[in-house]
Order: sequence, then structure tokens, then C-alpha cells
Amino acid sequence: MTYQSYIAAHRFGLGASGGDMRGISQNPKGWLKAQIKSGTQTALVGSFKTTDEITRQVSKIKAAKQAERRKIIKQGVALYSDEMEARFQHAIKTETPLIERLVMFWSNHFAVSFKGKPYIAGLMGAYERDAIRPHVLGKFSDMLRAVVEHPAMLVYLDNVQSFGPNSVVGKRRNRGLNENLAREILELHTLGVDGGYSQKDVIAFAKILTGWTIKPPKQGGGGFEFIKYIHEPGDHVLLGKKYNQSNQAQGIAALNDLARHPSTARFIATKMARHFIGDNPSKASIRKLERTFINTDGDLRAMVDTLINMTEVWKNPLPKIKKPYEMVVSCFRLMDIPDNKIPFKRVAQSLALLDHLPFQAPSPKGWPDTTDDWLSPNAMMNRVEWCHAFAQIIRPKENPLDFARGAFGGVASADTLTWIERAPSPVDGLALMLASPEWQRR
Amino acid sequence: MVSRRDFIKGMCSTAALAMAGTLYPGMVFANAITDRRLVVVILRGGMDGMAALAPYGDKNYTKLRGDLALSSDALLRVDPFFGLHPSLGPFAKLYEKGEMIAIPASASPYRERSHFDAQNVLELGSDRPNGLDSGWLNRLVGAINANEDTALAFGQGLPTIMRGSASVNSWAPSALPDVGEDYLSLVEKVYAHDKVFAKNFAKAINIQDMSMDAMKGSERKMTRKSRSPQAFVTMSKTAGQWLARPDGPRIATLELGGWDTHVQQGTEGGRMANNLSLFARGIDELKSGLGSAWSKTAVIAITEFGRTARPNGNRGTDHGTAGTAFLFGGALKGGRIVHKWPGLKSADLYQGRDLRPTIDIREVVKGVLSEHYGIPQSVLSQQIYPDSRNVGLVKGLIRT
Repeated sequence: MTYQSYIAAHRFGLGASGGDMRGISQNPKGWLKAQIKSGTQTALVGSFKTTDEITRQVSKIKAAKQAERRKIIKQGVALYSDEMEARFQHAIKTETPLIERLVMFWSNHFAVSFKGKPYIAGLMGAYERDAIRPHVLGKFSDMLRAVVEHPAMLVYLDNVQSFGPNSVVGKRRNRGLNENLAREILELHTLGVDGGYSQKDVIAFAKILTGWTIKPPKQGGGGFEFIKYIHEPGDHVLLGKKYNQSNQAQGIAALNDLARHPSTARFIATKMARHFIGDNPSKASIRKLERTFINTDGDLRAMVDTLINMTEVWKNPLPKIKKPYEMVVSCFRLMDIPDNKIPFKRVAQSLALLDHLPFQAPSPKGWPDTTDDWLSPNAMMNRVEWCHAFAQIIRPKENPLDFARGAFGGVASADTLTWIERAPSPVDGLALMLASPEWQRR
Repeated sequence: MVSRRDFIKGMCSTAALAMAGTLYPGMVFANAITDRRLVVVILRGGMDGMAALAPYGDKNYTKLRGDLALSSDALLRVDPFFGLHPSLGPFAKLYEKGEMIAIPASASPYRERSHFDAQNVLELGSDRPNGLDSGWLNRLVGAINANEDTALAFGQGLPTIMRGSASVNSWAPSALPDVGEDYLSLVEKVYAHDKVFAKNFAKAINIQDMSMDAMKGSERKMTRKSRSPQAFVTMSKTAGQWLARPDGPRIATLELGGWDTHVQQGTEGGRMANNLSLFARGIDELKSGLGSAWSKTAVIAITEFGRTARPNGNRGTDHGTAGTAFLFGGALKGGRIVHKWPGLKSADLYQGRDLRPTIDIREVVKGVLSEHYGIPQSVLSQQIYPDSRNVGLVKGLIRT
């Protein structure tokens, strides 16, 4: 096995299924490119509740009394759990793991979380299915709009609490702006914190986005709705440009411009380079991605294609640490574990322990993406212990040396292989392989 | 069974001498930059400040608090106006010794009612929920040029207050099954050729050894269930013992939840009383763990917001504004209640429902940091709490 195939399988994918690297080894780049060719399925297949149905439930929370509130939260958490199980099962079985990595990357870029807002737990899966998945090989501008129109984001970042002070509703109820969503779109989703905007821009953009909300429960509830009676009337100036459209068209125009802004191109290029090349990617590689973003009008498929073609990507075999979720998925993929051998509840407990439960990021910034953030001594000990617990459940019969050679022979150091061979039991040998720096990295 | 520590010592004496620099227990926490200890206790859920410290001298108290009023006979009347909840016996003792200060009617700058946002404001030290990238305690670690082993968070996961660019550690008893020494020593060998893994794993082993020293097996098991109410008490004891070590950490966080008492919070007994009792026992254990180092210690116990002044329909209280902050430690100039009491008449209440905040928690923290560590005003107002030049500082909290 070459280390190029390990890069393809682990840095771009989520590990090889059954440890079978053969298909990848023959042509790592080709294996990746086949996954992004047009017509590739990016949806999560299954029967799920729709965003509108779930939002209808969520929107009842405001008027709900204690007992009803608890019920809504409980239903939402149950729904979250089902959705996350389907997502996890898909990740360990999919033959297009690159797509799943892209989904995770973008879900994290446009992070939503139910930490602090337990009543939106049920919307997390639907958010990713509806706002992220359809666009991971599409246009950045389309994903941005889908995200900003999704109830999960509108509630998470409080746009449903934002009222144009001079709008009909704002005046009647004496309510004002909530800048949260507008600020985070500029800072975290598009321009980046140094992208060249001011507090005035935040306020203007918050005004532009007033009225982007969810259907009121009194009108039956449901998904996204633009309500003009909440929208701050008038022209607003964002980044020096006047937006004189009325109603939702104003926000759509602003989002379209933000999606194409040079700062956005730079910001997205940097984040993708950091995820796929290393914690400190070269300026040249960022510039290359930035040019692709600009030249293709933010085509995310072209961004991935550019990455696959870059020589820098294929130089260093192990520059990145696997985040806990990726690490757990790669272990499951490696072992081809039969359904129900490890109930999802236990997987979720593991993820919680490893501080990486999906949609529980500590802030709208999402999970960090550099080695230092994931290898504190405590986190490290948790990983080491988790690998052992996992190996104990698997109970391999043979010494895993042959297995290890097949799975990561091309990148494992001679030392690592030697110690796996010398491990006192097959369980210790497998645990050691999984805990090794080579397996923990990608 | 050979403890991990003995095992490592054994290794040091034989073939692994070359690695002793990274493995020998004690090396990790060498050169702590200051002798002074600071512990921040985060009381999550919004502690009802008037249940912890009742203003029994306010003539509106009994009527306003209704079902939740504590009789002045039951209270520990450390002060003619304020009395401690009967479950807080250990605090009354600390008060008498001059090692406790309570600050009623205090609040962070947050004025809404979400736990999550309020905790963010409290911990980030910003005036809005996502206003900063790092917690104020992490910025303190940066500001005092501490080394990467100065600060340790006790509990699962790093709390927001500790997150940031300064290097800090966290520790929690593992919820996973114990793994054998054989396996860990193999892991050590496999990590030897990866610098980052080797360095952090050596630290992890070291921290685990300290915990083995500090905790008996039964205590470890108890704390392992982080939801176990006893966990805070044993964690506090462990924290005290680690902080006491000459080579131990100097700044630590502890967390205690269970304060979100919307329903049946109780008075002299009940849910609130039980939680207060855990709080008090934890601080007591922290003190005994610290031993003589207690005299160099300041503890800041803060919550994200107080609760509504009146009981709600369920004999509980809802999310409010001002609460009570507590300071403990031998370094305090204590035995006082520091307050600007706002009163309990309806017109005195914030938005007609909450105790009105009259002291900003940042003033209290600034006061402690300025006197405990000699941190200059400019650093406090720009680095620790950016843009807080308008926020003053409470003087005279620490013996200097």
C-alpha cells in the first residue's frame, strides 16, 4: 500500500471499508475523482420527517407550558438520535466517503448546535439533509442561501428574534434587531473576521435580514417564511453598496454578493486548505484554491477537484489529526462490524465522551480543525482508552499484524508494526494499532 | 497491582532513563510561576442567590419570597441583614475566620434569560454571548506568563472559561474501563516517534498519576459518574490536593450544576438545600485538600444569573438577573458581605421581577485579580475583560 492511497482513504475519505485498500491503491486520485463526478448521490437516503413538519413542532415551544415543553424537547432529542444513527450508519457503509467528509466539513463551517437550545435538536438532521447535502458539489452561494433560509439556523442564531425597529410588528411590539445571525454570516460563514466589515455593516445586514423567520404557530406553523411586516423598510448600505430592493429580494441580493466577495474566496480557500492539506497550508496552495473559487463562481466541486490535483496534498502522509467522530467512523469501517453489534446509543456515549457529539459544537464557529485543539492530555487518554474498549468489543482472534499491514502498512513506522506484533494479546495488538499516531492521523 | 507510578519509576531506573525527562512524575508541573492559587467554581444553571444568602433584614423579604422565605430562626445569621442558608454551615465558619465574602445583587452584563448565552457571557468575559474567542481565565493564564501546566480544569471537557490560545490542561476520571499497564506502556513506545503524541501522552500519564495519588479507588469510581451529586465534593478534594503540591497547578476550575430550580426548590430542606450542602462540602474539602496552601488561595464562585425574586407557580423560581457571588480562601480579607443592596419593593425589582444588579461580577473578578496577582488595570480592562474600562473594580478583597 502506498501512502497516497492512505491519504485518499483517510484524509479525503473516512477510512477503507473492511480495511480493503485494493481499489484505492490502484489509483488513489481516480478513486477520489470518481466520487465527485456529476450524478453522484449526496443525499442521505431514508424516510425522514421534513423540515417543515419538524419546525411546526419546534415553533410550539414558545407558548408551551412546562410539561408540554418537556415533551417537545423529548421528541426532538429522539428524532435527533434517529437521524444521527442513520447518518453514522451511512458514514460507515458508504462507498463515497469523500462526500460524507464534505458534508461534515460544510456542516461544521455552517455550524448549528442544540447546546443551549435543546428544543431544536430534532432539526439538526433535517438541516444537514436539506441545507448542506444538496450543495456539497454545487455552488457556495446556493448552500449559503439554503443555510440562511433553514429554520435550524434562523432559530440557532436568533434571527427569529430580530425585528425591524420600523417594521409594522417592530413598532407595534416595540421590538428591535438581533444582530447575531448577520454578524456570524459575515464573520464565520463568508468574509471571515478580517474580511473588511465594520459594526455598521453588521447592523445594516441585520436590518436586511429582518423578516427571514419561520411560519408563526398561529398560522399553522411550518418552515421558513419571509414576513414583510417584520422586515425593516428602506434601503440599506452593506459594504459600501446600497441595497434598494424590497422584501426578501434585498437579503437574497446581499447574500449573493457576500458569496462572491474576494474575502469569502480567501476565507473558504483557507479553511479547505487547512482541512485537506495541513494545519498550516502554504500561501501558494491557498491562492490556488482562491483562484478556483473566483473563476468558477464558488463551484465547490471544482474546489475539491483542485485539491485532488495539487501536488502539496500528496506530499506529507499524516499532517492532520482525525477528529473523534472521524476516528470512530474509520474504526467501524475498518472492522466491518455487523449491524447491532454495537448499538448506536453506545456510539453516541463514546462521541460525547470524546467531546465530539454531532451538532454540539461549543460555538457558532464550529469545531476547531487543528491538531492542538484535539490532543490535550485528557482528550488523548480518552482516545487511548476508547481504542482499547473498542478492541475488546471486537475481540480479534488473530494477532492483528497482517491486518495492520493491509490497513496502514504504507504509513505505519517499522516501530509501530513491531510493537503491534509484540503486543501480549490480540486485543492489545488491535487497540495499539488503532491508538497509534498513524491511525489517529490522516 | 503495581501502580502506574511505580511502574514508571521502575522504568526510569532501568532502560528508560533516557526518557525520564518526559516521564518522571513531577516534571510536568515544575516551575509554577506563582505561589498564589486561584480556583473558579462555575455554578451552572442559575443559582438562586436569595436562597443561598437571605436578606432577612429587608422588611419586604418574607412577603416577597412567600413559600420560599426562610425563617430567620433557621438562618445562619452571620450579619444583621443577611443570613446564610442552614445548609451552608461550613461557609459560616469560613466567614467567622475572615475567609469568606458574599456579594449579593451581583450579575454579569448579560440581561436576557438563556442559560447558554449567559454562561458564555460569564465565561468569555464579553458583553455578548459570542463576543470573544477565548475565556477570561485562559486570557489570565496568558497574561501572567504562566507555563502550560499552570491551569487545570477539573471535569469532563474544557469549560468555555478555560478555552483559548494559552495552553491549559483538563482532567476527569475516565468513564471508560480501566486499561492495563501493559497496554499503556506499549502506547508510550508507539508514541515515541511522534513528538506531539509523545509529549501530550506523557502529560496524560503524569496527570493520571497525580489523580491516583489524590483519590482512592472508590472516590474515582464515584466521580466517574459525572452526574453523581457527590462528584463535586470528591473533585474539590482532589483539586485541593493537586493545587497544594509544590509542583502542582496554580489555577483551576470546578463546576457544579443542578441550580435550575424551576420546580419545588424547597426551603430549609429539599432540592436547593441539598445542592447548597454539596457546594459547601466541596469548598470545605477543597480547603482541607489545600492544607497550608489555603492561605495563598482565592476561590471565586459565580453563576450565570440569579433567579426571579418571587416564587413561580410551581414553588420554584425562574431565570432572573442578579444573584449572589461567593469568594473563599485564606488570601481574603473576608468575613464581610460586600453589597449595594437594591431593595425588594416591587419598584426596586429589575423589570418588576428580578433582584436588581448593583455590582458587576467583572468588578469583583478584577478586584481579586488585581490584588491577588498584581495585574495592572490596563491589562484587566483590555485583555482579561476587553472594553471594560467603564467597569470599576472592588478594592480590598484580598489581604496584601
